[in-house]
Amino acid sequence: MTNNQLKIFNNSAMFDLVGDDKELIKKFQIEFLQQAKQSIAKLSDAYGQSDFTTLKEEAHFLKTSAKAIGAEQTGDYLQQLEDISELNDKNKCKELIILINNSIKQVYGVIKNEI
Amino acid sequence: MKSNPLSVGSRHPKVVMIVDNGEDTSGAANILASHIDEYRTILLDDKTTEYIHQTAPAVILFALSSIEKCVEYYTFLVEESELNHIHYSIVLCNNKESSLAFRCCMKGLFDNYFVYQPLYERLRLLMVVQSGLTETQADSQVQTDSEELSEKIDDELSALIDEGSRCKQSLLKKISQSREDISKVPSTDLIKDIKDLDSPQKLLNNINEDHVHPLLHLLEEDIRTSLDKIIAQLLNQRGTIKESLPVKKQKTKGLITHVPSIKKRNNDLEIGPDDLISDELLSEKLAETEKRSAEVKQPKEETSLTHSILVVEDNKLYRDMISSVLSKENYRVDEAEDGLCALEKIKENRYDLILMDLFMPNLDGLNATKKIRQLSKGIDTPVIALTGNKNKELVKKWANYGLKGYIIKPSTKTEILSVVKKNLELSQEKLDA
Repeated sequence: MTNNQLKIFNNSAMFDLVGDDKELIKKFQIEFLQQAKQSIAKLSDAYGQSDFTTLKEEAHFLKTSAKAIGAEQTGDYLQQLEDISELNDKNKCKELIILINNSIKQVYGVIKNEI
Repeated sequence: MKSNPLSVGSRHPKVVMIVDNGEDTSGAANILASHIDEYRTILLDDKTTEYIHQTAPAVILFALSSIEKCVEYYTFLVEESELNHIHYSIVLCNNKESSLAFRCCMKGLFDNYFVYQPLYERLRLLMVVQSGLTETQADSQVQTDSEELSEKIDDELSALIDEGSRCKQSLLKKISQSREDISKVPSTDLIKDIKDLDSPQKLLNNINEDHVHPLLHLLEEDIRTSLDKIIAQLLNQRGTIKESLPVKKQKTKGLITHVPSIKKRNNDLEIGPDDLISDELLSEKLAETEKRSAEVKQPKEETSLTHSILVVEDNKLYRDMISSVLSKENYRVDEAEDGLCALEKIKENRYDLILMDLFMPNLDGLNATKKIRQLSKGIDTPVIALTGNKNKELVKKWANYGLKGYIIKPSTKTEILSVVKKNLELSQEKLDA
C-alpha cells in the first residue's frame, strides 16, 4: 500500500482488535493522543540534539500504538523515521517529524469529531 | 549561541566551546548550556584568540570541523602564549575521527576527547567537562539537580550511592591525613631510632607497631562500619523489592523516559507539544470516557479462568489493548514492561504462555526468551513474539532462541486469539504426552 492509499484514521483497526466496545475504543484513542503528544516532544528534543538512537527508538515506540489505533499514515511516517534515523540523515528526519506532527493533528481532528 | 567573543567587561565563562559550524554543535552546546552556568559557545573568528587570552577559561572544548583544525588552532594558542593559564582542553570529534582524537590525547596534546557526532553519550560530555573543572580547581561545576539527571534513581539506590561516595571520601581523607602525620615526624627521631636498633628486623617491627598497625586498624574499622551500613541497606532493599516489582511506577526506555520533557527544543524545528493538543482537554475526555465505560460494564461472570498469559510489551497502550483482548476471553493476564521485569515475574509465577515484544529497552525480547529458557528448568512455556517484522529469515532465527510463533503487530483480535489458542493446545498436548 502506498502512502497515498493509507488512511489518516482507519476506524476498523480498533474494531478488529478490541471488538465492538465503543467506550473502550474511545479510551484507547484518547490515550494514544496523550502518548503521541509526549512522543512528539521527545522526537523534537532528540532531533535538536542529533540523537539518532533516541529518534529511532521513539519512532518505533509510537509506531506500535499508531498502527494499532488505525493512524495508518502516522504509522507509516514513523516507520520511515525509524529507518532514516539509522542513516543519520538529519534533514530527512526533520521533514518526517513535521509530517508526523501534522498527521497526528489530523488524527486528533477525526477523533475529536467522533467523541 | 554567541556568535562573537564576549567583551572583557562581561561575565568570564569557566567553560567555553570553540566552534566553526554552529548547527553541527548545537546538540552539545545545548547540553552544556543547560547544566553549566558559566558556559559560552564561541564562533571562531579573528577576535577569538584575544577573547580566550583575556577570559582564561578553565575548560576549553575545541569543536571545529576536523581534528586537524582543532590541533592547528590549539597549537597556535599555545605557541603564541595565548593560553598561559592552567586549563583543561577537550577535543570534540565525529565518530570517524575518534581514533585520531584518542591519539592526540595519548600524546598529551589534549586532555580528553568526546565524540559528538552522533551524540550518544550526553551525560559523558558533562562528566568530561566536570573532570576538567575538578582538575583545574575552577570554582564552578556541572549542575546535577536537573530532572534529566536525577530521574530514574530510586531512594535505596540513591542512598547506597551516597554511602559509597562518603566511604570513599573518608578513606581518601584518612590516607591524606596519614601522609601528613608521617611527614610531621622529625627526621632526627628516625635517625635516633635507627641508631638504637640492633637489626633491620627490629627496625621493621618498630615501624609496623608504631605506624602500619595503627593505620591498618583505623582503615579496618572504617571499612567495617561502612560495609555494615551497605549490607543493612541491601537487606532493606531486598525486603522492599518484592513489593515494588508488580507495580513499576515509571516506564523507562534506556535513557528515554516517557514523561514530559524539560529539555529545550531546537529553534529551527518549530513543532512541539504546544502545537498539538491541550492536556486539559485530553484528560477531561479520558475521565469522561472512563466514567461511562465503568457505568456500561456488566458485572463480570464468575467463570473459571483458564490459562495464565504474560504480556511483555514496552508500549503500555498496546499492552493494555492485548490484555483487554485476552481478558475478555477469560484468560488470566499479567503484564511486564520489558524483558527484565518479565524475568522477575516468571521467577515468581507460572504462566501457560508468554507474548513477547522483541524490540524493548533494558532487555529485548530475544535475550529475555533465552533467559526464560535457562530459567524454565524443563518447563517449556511457549513464548510468542509480538513483532512488526515479517522477514522469514528472522523468524527462523527467532525459532533458535526458543520462540514458538509470532504475531505481527498490529493484528486483529481473531489472529491473536488463534495463535494463542493454537499454542496453548500444543503445549497441553505435550504435557499430556
